Amino acid sequence: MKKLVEIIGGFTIEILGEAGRTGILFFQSLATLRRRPFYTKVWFEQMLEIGVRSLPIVVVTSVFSGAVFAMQMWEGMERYGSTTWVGWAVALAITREMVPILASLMVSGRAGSAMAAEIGTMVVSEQVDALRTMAVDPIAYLVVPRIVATAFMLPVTVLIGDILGVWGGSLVVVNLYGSSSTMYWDGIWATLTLRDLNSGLIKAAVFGVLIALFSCQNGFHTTGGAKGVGRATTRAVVSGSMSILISNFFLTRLLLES
Amino acid sequence: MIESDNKSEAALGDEGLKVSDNGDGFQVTRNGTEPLIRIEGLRKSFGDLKVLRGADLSVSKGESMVVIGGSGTGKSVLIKHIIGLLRPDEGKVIVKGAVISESSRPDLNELRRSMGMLFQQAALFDSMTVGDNVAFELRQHTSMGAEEVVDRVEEMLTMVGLSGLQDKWPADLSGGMKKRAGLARALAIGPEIILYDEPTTGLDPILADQINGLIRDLQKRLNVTSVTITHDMISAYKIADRIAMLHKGRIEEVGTPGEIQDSSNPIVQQFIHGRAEGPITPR
Repeated sequence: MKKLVEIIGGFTIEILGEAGRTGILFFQSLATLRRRPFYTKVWFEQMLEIGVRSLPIVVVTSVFSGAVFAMQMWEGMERYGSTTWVGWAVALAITREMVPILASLMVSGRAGSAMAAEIGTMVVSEQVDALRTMAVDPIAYLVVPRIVATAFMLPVTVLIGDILGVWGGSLVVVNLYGSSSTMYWDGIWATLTLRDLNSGLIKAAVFGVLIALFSCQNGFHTTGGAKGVGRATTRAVVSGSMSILISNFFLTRLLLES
Repeated sequence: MIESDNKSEAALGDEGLKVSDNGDGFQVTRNGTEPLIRIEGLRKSFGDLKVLRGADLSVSKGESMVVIGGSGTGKSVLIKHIIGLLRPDEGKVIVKGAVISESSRPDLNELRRSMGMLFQQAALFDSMTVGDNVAFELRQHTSMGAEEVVDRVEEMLTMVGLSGLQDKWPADLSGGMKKRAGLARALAIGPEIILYDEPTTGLDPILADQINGLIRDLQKRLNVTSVTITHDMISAYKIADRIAMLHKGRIEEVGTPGEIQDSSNPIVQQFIHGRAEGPITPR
């Protein structure tokens, strides 16, 4: 029993510590955003790295998720004779939930792990100290560009994913079930609103900030050489993904009520 | 070698060093000027581990100070306080008249722009080429044009014997080349103070001698003030104006290389002769 309490207590302290450190990094980054220099060249490099280079996995994820969801919807709605609503259901799920969540998880796995590994390696090899000795603020140079890039590029990739996800659904509905393309797309145009689209994009921006913060925070607190870098990378992906899934609940409530 | 028996001021050797009694103790300065770096009662612990326990040291402008001491005695911790990478638990580090731990961020960064540091493993940015590493600080803190930066990078790399390697990646360099590239990066902006963290560790004797020669040459040619931490005595004798021995978190003894060699302190003698038996070795 004592052991169990110890384990639960240790786990709680670890989670609170992680959240606290990430919160501090968030406020430090906000404060840094108001100070020059801005290292805008690094911002654009990170946008390329995080946004453009993550696009292939987001495209594959979106197309196949849209296709699978369309299949499930068709099978389900066919029982009630309401297959005309498949397009609408696919578009709603894709734009509001599926692509923002799946794309964010993919970016967390790809770009978030890379951020933690890169910063962690820089910490253990004294490159971050070298930045400080050269009067360069590591938060301004390493963290802020990654937050800005992820917060800006994740919604862009999600928007592309939304379009391709819905298109993936249409491929299934038209080619597999022989439905008309017009019926699928008309159902979407008639019911999908800008609010549906925006809701997913707002979520993506928030998830982007969370991914960058958790990844950078874990990178900055790396200790113990190569093993430590590995640990930091794993923690970055796990805590980033958890933060996406948990914050999604509250964001969804907030966005549905607004 | 004290040439005068004057209690308030005396000259040391022929290096222009002077000893003065300021009431709190003796202070060695070059030509009697205010020390450029002053460390007073520096204490630092990491958890229960007490690393520095009241270290005092002063370094004059243009002086090459070498801090020697065994592994784990806090040499790196001491040097990191000078450039503000660590904050003292107690005591002060004063550089160019400013207390490092009390300086605001802009003031600290201003001070750091007048300092360069060579890290033990060089700490080159591995996402940049050697040329970009050397150019990094120039691009951040100077208004130099692109061509001027290229020329300066070439000049620095030529000085450390790495001419033409601008486009190489740090991963493609040997340990010695990395150290030299790190040195070129530290010197690029023309610092007033250079800190060397184990500059010859891991290098073969010939390469180590080249680095020593380079450090000595830079100090004489550019009149930079340097603090070097090492446990390599050959290097220490070659590059030091004065040597300070750090032991158990305090400066055990300070003196010219000759004075250190002739020291009657058994701790100093054990260390400089590398004897396994003696007061440093725990029984």
